[in-house]
Amino acid sequence: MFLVSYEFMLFLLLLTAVYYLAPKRFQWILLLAASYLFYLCGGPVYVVYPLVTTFTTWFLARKIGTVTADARRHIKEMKLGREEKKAYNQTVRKRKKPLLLLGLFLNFGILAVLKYMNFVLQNTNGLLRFFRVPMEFYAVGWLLPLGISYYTFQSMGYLIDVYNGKYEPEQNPARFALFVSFFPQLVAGPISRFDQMKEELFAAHPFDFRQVKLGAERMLWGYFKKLVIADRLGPAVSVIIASPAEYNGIYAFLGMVGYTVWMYADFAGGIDIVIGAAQILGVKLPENFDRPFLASSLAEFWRRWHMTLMQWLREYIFFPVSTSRLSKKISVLTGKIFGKKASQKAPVYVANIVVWLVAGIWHGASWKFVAWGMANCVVMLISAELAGAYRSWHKRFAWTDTKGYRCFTVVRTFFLFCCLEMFEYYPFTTVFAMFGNMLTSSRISQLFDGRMAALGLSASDWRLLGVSVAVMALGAVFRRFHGFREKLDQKPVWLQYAAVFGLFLVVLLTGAYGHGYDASQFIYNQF
Amino acid sequence: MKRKKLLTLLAVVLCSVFLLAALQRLLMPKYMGLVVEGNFIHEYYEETSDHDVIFLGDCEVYENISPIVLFREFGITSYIRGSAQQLIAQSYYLLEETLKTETPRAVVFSVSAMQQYEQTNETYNRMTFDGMRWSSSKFNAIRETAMEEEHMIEYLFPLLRFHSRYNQLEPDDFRYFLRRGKVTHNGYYMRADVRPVGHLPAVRRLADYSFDERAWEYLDRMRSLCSEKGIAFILIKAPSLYPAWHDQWDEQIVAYAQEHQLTYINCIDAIDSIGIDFSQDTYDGGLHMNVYGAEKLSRYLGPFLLEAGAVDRRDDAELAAVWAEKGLYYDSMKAQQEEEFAQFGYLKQFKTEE
Amino acid sequence: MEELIEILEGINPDADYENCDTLINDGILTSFEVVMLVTQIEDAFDVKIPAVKIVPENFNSAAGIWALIQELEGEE
Repeated sequence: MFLVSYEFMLFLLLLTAVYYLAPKRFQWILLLAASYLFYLCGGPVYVVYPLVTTFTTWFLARKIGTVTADARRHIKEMKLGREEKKAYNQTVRKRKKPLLLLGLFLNFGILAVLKYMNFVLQNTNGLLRFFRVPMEFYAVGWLLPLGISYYTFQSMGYLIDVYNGKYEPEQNPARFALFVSFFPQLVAGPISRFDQMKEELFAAHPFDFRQVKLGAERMLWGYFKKLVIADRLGPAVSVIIASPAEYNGIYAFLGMVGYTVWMYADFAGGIDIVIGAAQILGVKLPENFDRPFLASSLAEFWRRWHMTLMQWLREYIFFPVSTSRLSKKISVLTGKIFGKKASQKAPVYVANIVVWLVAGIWHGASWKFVAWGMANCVVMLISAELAGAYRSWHKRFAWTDTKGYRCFTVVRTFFLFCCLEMFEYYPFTTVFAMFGNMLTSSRISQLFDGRMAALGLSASDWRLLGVSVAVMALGAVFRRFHGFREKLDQKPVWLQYAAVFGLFLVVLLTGAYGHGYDASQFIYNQF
Repeated sequence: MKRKKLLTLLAVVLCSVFLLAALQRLLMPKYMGLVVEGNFIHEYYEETSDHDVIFLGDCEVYENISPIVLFREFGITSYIRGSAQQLIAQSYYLLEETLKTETPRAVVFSVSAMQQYEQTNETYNRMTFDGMRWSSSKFNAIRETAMEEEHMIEYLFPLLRFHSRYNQLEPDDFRYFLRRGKVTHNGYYMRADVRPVGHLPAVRRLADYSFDERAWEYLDRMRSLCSEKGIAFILIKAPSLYPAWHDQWDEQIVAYAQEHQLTYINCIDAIDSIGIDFSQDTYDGGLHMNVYGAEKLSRYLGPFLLEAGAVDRRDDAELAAVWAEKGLYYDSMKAQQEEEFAQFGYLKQFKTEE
Repeated sequence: MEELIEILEGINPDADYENCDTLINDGILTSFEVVMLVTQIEDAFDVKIPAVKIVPENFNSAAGIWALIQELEGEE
């Protein structure tokens, strides 16, 4: 059962009715039951994985919590001095650490085995062939449980937070289970934090017509992005990026921009559906996109695209790695060779490389994604190095403060991101050749040769795509000044109705669903 | 205040439902051009009088039997509940639906549907079901025969299926928005053009000649439905030359008919006594009869139907009036098609780019 | 405090550190710069800033950073 299916809508409709009729204290239990029902639809076997993660994480976090609480009580009762306290805290940390590591190894282990086993086996086979060892591993046919990357990251964030004493662990395993598997976010995130979600999930939610309306509107907007744009554009873009030899020149450019728009419409549309569905149930989920294509630098872009994952990586990988003992050692070492300035930068470099390695691997078990991560890493480091130069450049030339210049930086960032995405779909060895080909042999006339027809989109499809993407872009710019839905809410009823019903009709009629269209699933499903 | 809110809500709901219903009506195919088969099933509901005989099946009944001739020459009132590639399960549920409102004396089922239990093309399902009224019969029929990628909800709201026609609307969609034209004569699809039998593809041998278990099951269900109500159940195989009706298949049907004491009329064996001339009586080279072939076959079937319990109703003044009107429409369409065919050598409505 | 401001200006000279309290939220300090800042603070004040303490609440203003340094110095 996916977010774009009749089943999902029926499911949500029935759940909403029952949810608001049920006694308030049972609401969260209903959500838990619904979430597991949702999971069961994907195949009963897969329920085992989230159950294992839920139970182990809950258990270990509770243990860690007990140790912390005991330690606090001990410190208070014994009235320890500063030095004693420090020493005592060290021993407490030693007792907690194995519990944390156990949780991390177990759950990231499940993820690694399920998601990356074939990748490892393939590469091992490659090595074996290289050394002419007459041996081969067969690929395993394990299927990934729904949203495993998302709930694993979310649960591990929780475990680390409890370890660091950020908040108290949840005592009730059922409540924790709901946090791990809350159904709207199960498929594609956002990755949320327990301290933010606790209130949202477990509080009583009386029926609020306005919230339901706003949630439904948000979902509709998501379906617009997903059905009208992504699912129409996706098949055509897939054709282009699948055969770089045939689709070169201006098609490489078309594919590049198309891929980026497709990714955004698909992922952000999915997130709109998720957040909207949760809002209908009175649950506020964290935002995952903040109009990323309005960013004026790649660093800013990554603060506005897939925000919850990037926050996770920053909080649990970037900062810990950059302050780790290993980074310190590398810093000291580089300091000895390259001087003080380099020594200060070393931790940033180390942490950045690790983060982008993880981000790359997270996106998929393939060297392509590793290359994509590294490409991002290089660009980020270069722009960090140039930050000082940029500042003096801006100071020197007043015109860099104008709207026009800002637009330029936005467009530049968009194309920078587009180019980096090429690493995601072209094999590493062809990326640079395709890039060169795109720059040197693009001709407008190529758009009118036979290759266009093979993309499977009619002229009216392209027109519709053009208008829809423009509407989506305008939506993003417009929201810069005020929340669109909130603003609409102030208008007369007939205008609200006309706007919402109009959009509904557009999605209903022009959505690429049903016969003649592939029921394409969310690109981000298996991450 | 509360009342005002309620009224607004009511207005919004009504307005939406009305708009969506209108849109759905507009976007659904009208089947008034080259393909008319999508109109066969719903025309039955416009009938004002009962029928003594109900025919069930696919093109082998709706193109080969003329109820008008059956009435004119035998006084038999009949209706053909058939549509393109109508599966046996669909015939069963249509029978079930029909028997809710009337009790004929005989039900004639075309056995060619035995050879294929599952649907091969979603279009056929749509043409059969979109014209059918909602009832448990329709629901069960869809559940039984829908293809894998079809959804019940797309039958409940056909707009979901035909939404992408928004940029392919034709004049017909507006012209027949409120009401579609009548295309059949009690379920009979008339063609007065002629295309003689030419070269027929060689008959291919099959690895397995047994019918699907589920097809047998539905045949049994049809039979028992009829026997419960004291209706004669007759099996028929139309006299088409292609696709092939294998002897091995025929033997199974003969055995079944014997076992249950049913009448089985294999018209392929009776082509000579029916008097079919394949240079004159087919419009598509031997697959289906044209009106001349259908009239001959109807004359041949009449006595069997009378024997099975159908009654000569020509004395009933009320019925005679109803059928006289049907006859007028029949004759005018036949005359018009004949004229067109004589003039052009083809029928404009059914002319395809060949 | 002055020493801290000096470090901050060395990293990014374009901010009003006396008054600004949205250094992280408004992206004035990127995570790169935060890490550089942390390394330099650790050297200058001889403290160890654990990753847990690197949160917006502590780094949004110069005053916040100063409070953090003092808290950590107190623990030493």
